[in-house]
Amino acid sequence: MPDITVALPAPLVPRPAPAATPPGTLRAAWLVARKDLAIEFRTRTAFFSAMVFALLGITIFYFAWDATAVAAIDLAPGVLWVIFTFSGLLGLQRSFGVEQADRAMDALLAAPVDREAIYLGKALANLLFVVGVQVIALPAVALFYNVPLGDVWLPLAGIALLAAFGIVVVGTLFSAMAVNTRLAELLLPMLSLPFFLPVVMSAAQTTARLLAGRPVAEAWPWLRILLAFDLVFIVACTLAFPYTVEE
Amino acid sequence: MPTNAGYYEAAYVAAAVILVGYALTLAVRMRALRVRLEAARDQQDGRE
Amino acid sequence: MTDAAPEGVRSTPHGPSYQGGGVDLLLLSGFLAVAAVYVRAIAFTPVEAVQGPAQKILYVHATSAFVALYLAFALLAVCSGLYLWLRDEKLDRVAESAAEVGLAFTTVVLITGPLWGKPIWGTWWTWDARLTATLFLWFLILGYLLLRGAVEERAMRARYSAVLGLLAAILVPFIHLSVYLFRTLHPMPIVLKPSAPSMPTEMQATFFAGFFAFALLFAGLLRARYRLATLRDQVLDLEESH
Repeated sequence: MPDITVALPAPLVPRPAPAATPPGTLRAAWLVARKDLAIEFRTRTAFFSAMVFALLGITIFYFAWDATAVAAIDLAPGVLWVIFTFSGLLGLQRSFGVEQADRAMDALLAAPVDREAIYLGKALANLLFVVGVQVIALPAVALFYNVPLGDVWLPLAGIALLAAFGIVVVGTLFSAMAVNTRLAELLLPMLSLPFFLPVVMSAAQTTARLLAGRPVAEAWPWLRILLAFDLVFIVACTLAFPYTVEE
Repeated sequence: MPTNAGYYEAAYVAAAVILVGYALTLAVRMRALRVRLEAARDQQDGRE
Repeated sequence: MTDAAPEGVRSTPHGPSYQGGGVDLLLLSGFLAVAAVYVRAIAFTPVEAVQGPAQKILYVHATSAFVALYLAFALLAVCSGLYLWLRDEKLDRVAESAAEVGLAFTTVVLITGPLWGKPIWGTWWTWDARLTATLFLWFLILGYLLLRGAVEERAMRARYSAVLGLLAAILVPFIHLSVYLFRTLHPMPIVLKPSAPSMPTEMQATFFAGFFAFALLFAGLLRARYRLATLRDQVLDLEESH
């Protein structure tokens, strides 16, 4: 068989690929977040369940007390924050649950990215999840409970974001731990809820004051706690995460 | 002066019951572990 | 040549293992000290005029609260941090013991609290700042123990518990801040104002004796629980090597 050599034109000559540099922490975090959101977007089950749960919960709460004795608007902040918390937990459950199949977690850990980036990415995905639920639930509460959002919706959105941040930061870390235990679904709420107290209390108290037409300055002591919590725990949980995924 | 001595008596009894009870559970668990230790040692000796 | 080790102690890879035989003198003296404080509080301490005899609950309630938060929980937090740094198994066992004993003391606080609240404030539970914070401490310690129960592998369990212990320690100041802020804005209906800052010396003496006695009892229970943990690990190692 004669040797046939063909000279390929220059553009088709295979060249070695340029050495790939691993992404930095923030870029890696974004990639992890994008991956999680892509998975969620394709299946949509978790977000859909959380949304339905939120709407059902808001509805059932309305019938759980005597509407003539207590004005709906007085209960709205409490209902809002209880619903956010529990639907947030639904989203957090699946955060590391998706990595259980096919030992995907090992692949994730083998990738040349900081462990912190994995945590931040997951937390970001969870944050977008919780904010997504809030975007649906907030107008629903305003509608069902006759809450005039009008001019306070912007500060309200700000508080919602700050509180979602607090919930997600702690919940993502506990999700990473709980997923490796025997009682994952029970353990995650049990561990997380005491940590949610400062967040939920501050958010509900501030929401109540805003809805009552009080100036934001009056809620400042609560906002300070919320801000401090977010700052302290994003640092603490990012530092703690590598300890939860060691080999 | 109000006569509410019953409350503090109940509290003292409750505290004692909880703390002594806890110490007793420690004793019981310790004994169970010693039994297991002996069994494990016997099994090990039996193999050697 | 007599054995240098104290009676009943064998050395194991985990450190000395207590095999029983002798009486736990530390634990016994702890209980005796508490009993002595009981006697002193009941028979030799004056009754407070405004609150009546129910005020005496404070000698058990406040002292247990001190032990639960500043001894048990603080030890848990410190050992958690040290474990993540030094990875010494012993630190994990101390943390585990501090948590369980701390849970017992916290339970005492939560039961004696309402028993004091009812005669003084009129209701069993009023979401008083301190009691609420203690309730959350109880939940945190319980969560810690449940996490430990849910992880079988020893190294992972120690790591996870240490992370939770540290995070819980960071959380506690936030709980106090939130709960106290809540309280100052929602004052509870107080029928009688609880203990005034200046107490007659006999009451102060009972208080201090109480702190010392309960701290001694804590030390005894902690050590007993630690020995239990050491023995358990020893037994598990032995069973696994088969």
